[in-house]
Amino acid sequence: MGLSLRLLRRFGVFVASLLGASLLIFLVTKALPGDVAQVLLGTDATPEAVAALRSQLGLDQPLAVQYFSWLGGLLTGDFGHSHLSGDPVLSLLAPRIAVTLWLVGIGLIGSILLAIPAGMIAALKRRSWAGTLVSVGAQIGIAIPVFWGGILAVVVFAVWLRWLPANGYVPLLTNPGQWALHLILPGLTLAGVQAAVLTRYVRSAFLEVLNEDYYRTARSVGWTPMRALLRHGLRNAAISLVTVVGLQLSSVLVGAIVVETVFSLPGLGSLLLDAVAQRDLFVVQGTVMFLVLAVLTISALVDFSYLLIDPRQRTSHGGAR
Amino acid sequence: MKRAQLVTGLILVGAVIVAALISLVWTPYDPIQVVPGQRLLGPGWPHLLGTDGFGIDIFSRLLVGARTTLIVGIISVGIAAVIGVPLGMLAGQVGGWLDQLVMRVSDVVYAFPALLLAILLASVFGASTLTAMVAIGVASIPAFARVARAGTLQVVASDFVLAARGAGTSRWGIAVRHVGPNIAPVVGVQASVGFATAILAEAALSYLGLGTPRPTPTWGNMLRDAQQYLFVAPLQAVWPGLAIAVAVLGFNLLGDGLRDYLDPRLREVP
Repeated sequence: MGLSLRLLRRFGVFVASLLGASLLIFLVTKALPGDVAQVLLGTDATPEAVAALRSQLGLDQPLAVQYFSWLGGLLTGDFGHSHLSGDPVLSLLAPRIAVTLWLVGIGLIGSILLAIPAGMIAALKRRSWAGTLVSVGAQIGIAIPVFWGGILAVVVFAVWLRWLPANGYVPLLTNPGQWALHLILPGLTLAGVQAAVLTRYVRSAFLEVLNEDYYRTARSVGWTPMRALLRHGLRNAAISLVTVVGLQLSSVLVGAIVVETVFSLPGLGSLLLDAVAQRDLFVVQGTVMFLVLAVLTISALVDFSYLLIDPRQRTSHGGAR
Repeated sequence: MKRAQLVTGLILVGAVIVAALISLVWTPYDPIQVVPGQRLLGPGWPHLLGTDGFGIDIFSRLLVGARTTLIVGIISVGIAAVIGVPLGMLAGQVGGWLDQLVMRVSDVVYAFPALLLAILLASVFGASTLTAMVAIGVASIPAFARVARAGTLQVVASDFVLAARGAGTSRWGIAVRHVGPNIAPVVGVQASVGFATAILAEAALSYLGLGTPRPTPTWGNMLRDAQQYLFVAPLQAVWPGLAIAVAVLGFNLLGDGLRDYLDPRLREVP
């Protein structure tokens, strides 16, 4: 299969996943026990008011029509409206996206920076105590729930040492120093927990490199293991790590949503949980759709770049699934 | 080293199961009943790990929490296995467009973060243990379907299945007599690892208030409660998290250990 055909195929998968995910979200929302309009207005609403809201929301239309009009709205950037405030979901998301993006960014980059050296040590020193220590540490790290990690970080750095604030957020433009102080604990918590998962992948990617001919050649001409790994291994391992990081993205995002709760950060996660608490169904629906759209788009972009950077993918026989 | 993994896993999982079983017949104190006079006691005697913000013995709640954790794990892994394994076997044995359909749908579900599915379900049906179990179970179906499909493809390509087919055994007969028993070990490994994932997910959902609500104790909602008293009673937030980590570590080690024990070909090159 040629490269362009493979790209096209991946794009087809992306579109199909989007349709599938939107259908899933739509159908779950439609499964609401009872009448949505009745639930929204409360039990003391008059039948006339309920009927009016039903037709306003298009609930008297057939399901297929409702789905496609919702989908059409999404395409034009209409993610629905809060039934409590009447605000468009996108205008509720907009001021909060930055917080979640900062967290995801710090979590993702921090975890890569932590996991690559850790994974290299685990692979290179696998027969000594240092490698075993890293592997055991990663195994334990995977078992630590991200919110507990955050709570422990608060106990140590905010309650005992009093070095950092326990919660809250200050926008970057308001006060950059305070902004950084408030993001250190949540960002590092997320990065640490993700790094544990990533370390195992880095370790096995580098273990593969250790068996490659180019590594043996580099060693035989007198290069140290570290130099051979850094010069040749990193680049080769990077290709398989790009896909892993793409897969990780979804768990970093989910982790960010949870971490926002631990540190009371005003991001997308707290918006979602507030909406669930208030049973603001359309905000939940729109926000979940937005997040799923983001995850699917980024994982598609990661796969595209993977197809483009790896020359082996351009031959007719390499890398088919 | 590998044997050590399996043994450690068995011990940790065993400890969680024993705690859950003990809680069925005995807990030091009532795990539900609020006792106003003894809020936020530190660890000591007679309250081994102290009391929470409602004056309830934390150790008792931990024991009962083990039960909730295991029940959620069993049911959500059960949902995933009962739906995912037959789907994977079907996809592997029949192949063709059916295989494509099953795998593509499972890709879509796999790409959908479990937490978002749980949030969606909780906002529609209200937060409960049931919605948490369904969300975790549905989100875990693809993992089981993939494992079962890969195993099935391997078995179907083997000589003994060729022979059975030559002898006129039906597809159904092959599935029951050959494929099922041969993929059982890999499904078992997936179940153990899936159990760890389910425990983490359930804890996160209960912590966020999207899973089992108070007063039923779960390790997740205990952490949710404990967080209000971090500056007064920080130790309270240690125990439930430790319990979660022990359980997750146990099931992960058990799964990894089983994988190596059952299939020497999968053993890492030392």
